[in-house]
Amino acid sequence: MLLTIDETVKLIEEGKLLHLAGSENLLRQLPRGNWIGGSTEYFMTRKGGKTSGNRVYANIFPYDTFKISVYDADTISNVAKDAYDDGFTILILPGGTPVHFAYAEKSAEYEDMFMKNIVGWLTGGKLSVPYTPVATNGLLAETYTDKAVALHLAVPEGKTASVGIVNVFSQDDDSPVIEFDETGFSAGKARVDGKEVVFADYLAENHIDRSLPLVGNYSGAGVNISFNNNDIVPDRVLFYAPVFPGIQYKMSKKVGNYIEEFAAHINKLGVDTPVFCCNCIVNFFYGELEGKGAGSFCGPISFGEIAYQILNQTLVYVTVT
Amino acid sequence: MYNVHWLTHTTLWRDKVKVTLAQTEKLLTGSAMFTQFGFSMLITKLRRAYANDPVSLPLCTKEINMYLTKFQATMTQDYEKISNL
Repeated sequence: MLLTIDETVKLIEEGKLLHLAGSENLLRQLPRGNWIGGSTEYFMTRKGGKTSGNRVYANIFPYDTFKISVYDADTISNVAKDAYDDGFTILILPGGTPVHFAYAEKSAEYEDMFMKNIVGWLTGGKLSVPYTPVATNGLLAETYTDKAVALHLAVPEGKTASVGIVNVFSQDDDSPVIEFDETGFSAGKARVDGKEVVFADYLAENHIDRSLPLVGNYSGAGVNISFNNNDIVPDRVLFYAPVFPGIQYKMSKKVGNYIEEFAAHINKLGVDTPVFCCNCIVNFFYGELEGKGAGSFCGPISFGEIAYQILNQTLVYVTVT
Repeated sequence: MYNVHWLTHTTLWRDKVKVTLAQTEKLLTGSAMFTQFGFSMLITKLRRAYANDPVSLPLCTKEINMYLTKFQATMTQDYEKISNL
């Protein structure tokens, strides 16, 4: 739900357990309590997409057992080990920081990853003005530009938490297979159907639409890698999440009407109301979601999503049943 | 009587959701696709690990079995694929 700052303060003072999203300015005004927060000014609400610098998005959790942990680039590898066996963890990473990059490149190798339910999002700010991505530990009312904050939650006995994604993009069957020899947020060379190419040249010569992501095949799951078209490094192609060796990527099929595709994917899930959800800023703009509804899949619009590892252009959700 | 039936059913299901070393090898060298997101991610990680280090097969088997035991409630559809390996 989207709240005013006064409504948010009231919930905190009542001792509610909260996951919050809002502008850095608002997060820094909130009192100590049982909450974590991250910066964004974009949200999905039941009434549709919303941009606001004076509202806070809140998830209220009815769980008694929780802990809040703070991680830097050297300790983030403990995040899955620290998570409860039966529950889930919401991890908030300040975008563009060493802890973000450490997690992006190594999270699959962390102890207990995939044995615990790890979700979350990368923070940002309003795109039209300079901003600093932050994550806040509400227990101490401390806001970090260089540390991640995690809310580890245990669900009640007999309940099960599950992580899911909604990805409207899928591999284009007509695309060649694209592979990389090194892990990284950028690539100089790639192998296209086995032939080594300068990847930037390949994309230009073949008029590849960089608004569509690369889609990696993870044993049946499609994991998107978005092109970073804003920053330029000569002879290299930049991405918003790392590519990995051993993964077969293809270009995505075009998506006709994002809202219709999205609704079709949601309907197929048969999920009523997730307890946590976030969706990508690229989807927000690409799908022109401002004012358009996503039903019960509400939450912050993020600058990268976490479902075990970092994803792009994907909605991530958690159900507890 | 009801309790005995329930225990028997549980035991059988737990026995069922295990992979052998041979099944793990097929799983990690094949191209089977799965529907459960976490399991797909885990198998991808293990496929890369096994390709780099074939000695890791027992560890991969152990990790898959831990996953299957823990998440059996959501694994029914994917287990059908695994059991056919």
